[in-house]
Amino acid sequence: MTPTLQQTEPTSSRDDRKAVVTLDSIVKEFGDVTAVDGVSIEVRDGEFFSIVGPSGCGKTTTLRMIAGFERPTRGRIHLEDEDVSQVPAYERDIGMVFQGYALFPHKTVGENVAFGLKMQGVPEEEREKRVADILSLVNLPGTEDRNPTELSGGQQQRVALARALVVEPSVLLLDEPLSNLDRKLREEMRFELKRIQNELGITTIYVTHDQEEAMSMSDRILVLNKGEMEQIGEPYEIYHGPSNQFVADFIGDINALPGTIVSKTDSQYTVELEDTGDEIDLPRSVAGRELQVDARVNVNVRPADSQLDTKLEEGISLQGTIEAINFLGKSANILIDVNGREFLVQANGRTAGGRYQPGDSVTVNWKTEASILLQES
Amino acid sequence: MGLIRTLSSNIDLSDGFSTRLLKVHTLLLFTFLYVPIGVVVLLSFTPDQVPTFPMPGISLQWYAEILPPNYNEELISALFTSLKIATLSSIGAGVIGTLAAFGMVRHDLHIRWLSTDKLNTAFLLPLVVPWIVTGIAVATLYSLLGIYGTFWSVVLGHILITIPFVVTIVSSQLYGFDRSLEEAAQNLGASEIRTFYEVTFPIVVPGILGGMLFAFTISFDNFTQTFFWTSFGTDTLPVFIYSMIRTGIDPSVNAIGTVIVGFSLTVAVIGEKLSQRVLD
Repeated sequence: MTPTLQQTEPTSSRDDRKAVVTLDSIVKEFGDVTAVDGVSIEVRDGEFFSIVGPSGCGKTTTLRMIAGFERPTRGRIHLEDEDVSQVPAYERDIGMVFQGYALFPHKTVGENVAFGLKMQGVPEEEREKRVADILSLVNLPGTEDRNPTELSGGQQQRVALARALVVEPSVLLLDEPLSNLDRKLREEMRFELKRIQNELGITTIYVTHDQEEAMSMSDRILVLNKGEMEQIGEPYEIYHGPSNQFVADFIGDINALPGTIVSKTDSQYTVELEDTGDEIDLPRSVAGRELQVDARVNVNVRPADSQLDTKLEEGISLQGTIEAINFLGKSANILIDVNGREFLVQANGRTAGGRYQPGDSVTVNWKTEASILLQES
Repeated sequence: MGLIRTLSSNIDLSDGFSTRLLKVHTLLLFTFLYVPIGVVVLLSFTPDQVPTFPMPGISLQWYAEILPPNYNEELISALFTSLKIATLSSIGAGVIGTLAAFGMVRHDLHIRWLSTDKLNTAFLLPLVVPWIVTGIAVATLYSLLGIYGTFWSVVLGHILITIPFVVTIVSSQLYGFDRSLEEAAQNLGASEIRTFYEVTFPIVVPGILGGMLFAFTISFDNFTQTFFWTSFGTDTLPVFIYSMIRTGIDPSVNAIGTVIVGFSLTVAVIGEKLSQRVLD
């Protein structure tokens, strides 16, 4: 037991579940390029764990190392209690859904799904039953004799999922499984994936560049950038308490106002904003970690946490001019010029939508505690 | 500008017109491709010793000459030699060429100055070496080795000239091969060997068959090199036909040609059907 280590982990009821996949300081180098640099994670039993980051951040390489298609240059990978770092892919108890589905074009849907069972030597009769069961689970009952090429993208996706799940692996890996689907189908499949994952209670590691997708489905999220871990935590934590400017920018929209810390007390920081010269006081709780006087910082605020012309008891106000209004129905995105810096406010569509015109002078407000104070990266 | 606009406005590029234009274009192309073959087929039915146009009538006498009981035994033996050589060399080139293609596509080779790209070029180079040069060079080598004129030396020679075709066709199929299919198989518990014969091989088999079929026709057709490699007894069909027409054109050559065209077309159609079935 190392109590100090435990304190750094987010407190959550899930913590007592056993780790199914453990990565220990994984490094992967391709020649001179370090694709993954020191990634350590513990994915717990039944957890839906996402790895997000921009393209080239090492998320797919990480997943491929877990699957066994790449060997880590350094570090260990454990599957339950077994060190699988050097175990070939076909001996790992892991199911995977590929970005392009990778359905065997020369086999029927039934043969595709039965493939893993055949490799395990499951007798044909049982194979047929299990294939039929899993195809009903993914809402494609009776499609055994179809050719995968006859199916739509969404259906192929379900077949790929069924093929990975039918062998009852201890972990399911999903590599950008929704990226080839159109928007509407993508949203449907999010619910579908989550339903199936819940129903089976299977430990799932999900790789995506779409942070919204990750947030809507995951128990926890790892944000990767240039092969390094930026933050690991629950969606709420990562969205509202990003640990650095990269995470703040990558996860959701954010307004970042640069400034300098001019003084600090035991309870608050005073920041002078670069654009307006305003000095604002922020409680220490909005900063992720201790900041020094003269440090270059960003005062961040989410567009959805910002308002226009509102009287707030504990708030921050800035003067600006409306540049553009993008009315979306339930909300309106209003772009405001605050002394040369663009500031986005996501206002309520009903109250703000018809009230403003471009060129209007407005006050931008947000609650002090909605600020996120981060060191400039 | 004004004139061009006036003129171009007279050209109707509506769907109907462009479709008709495409049809005419296609028709012309196929005429160009098939008229010479059509002439051979037509002249095989001539009743004359010396073919003339228009033909005075239709006769099957030249076919009678190449069929039992009147057939030329040497001709039939040359045909069987050709078939045997084409079969064996397409199998040989199929095996060697497929292995070479796998090695080239699947392994990023870097040994000093040798790289996969250079190997690729090296495989294609024999295609641009003038055939007569290859013919003479290999014939010289064979006589040095003391195997000149033997059946197996001709097979070996034909393997040599058909390998580049197999390598090209199979490697182009392998370059387009989605490697994640193999990863999916391994992810589902298939070892590397199992993955090869469950997934990789069935998917690339049309390419291998296509390459072998191509090798077969190249070998069956080949004259330039084979002319230098065969001796009496190992004459292939093209070499035998050449010796026949040296003494004057015998219209039975047209009958043989027609049979060969029919045979080649059948092989091609079967190959097409076969590879389609494998693909589906």
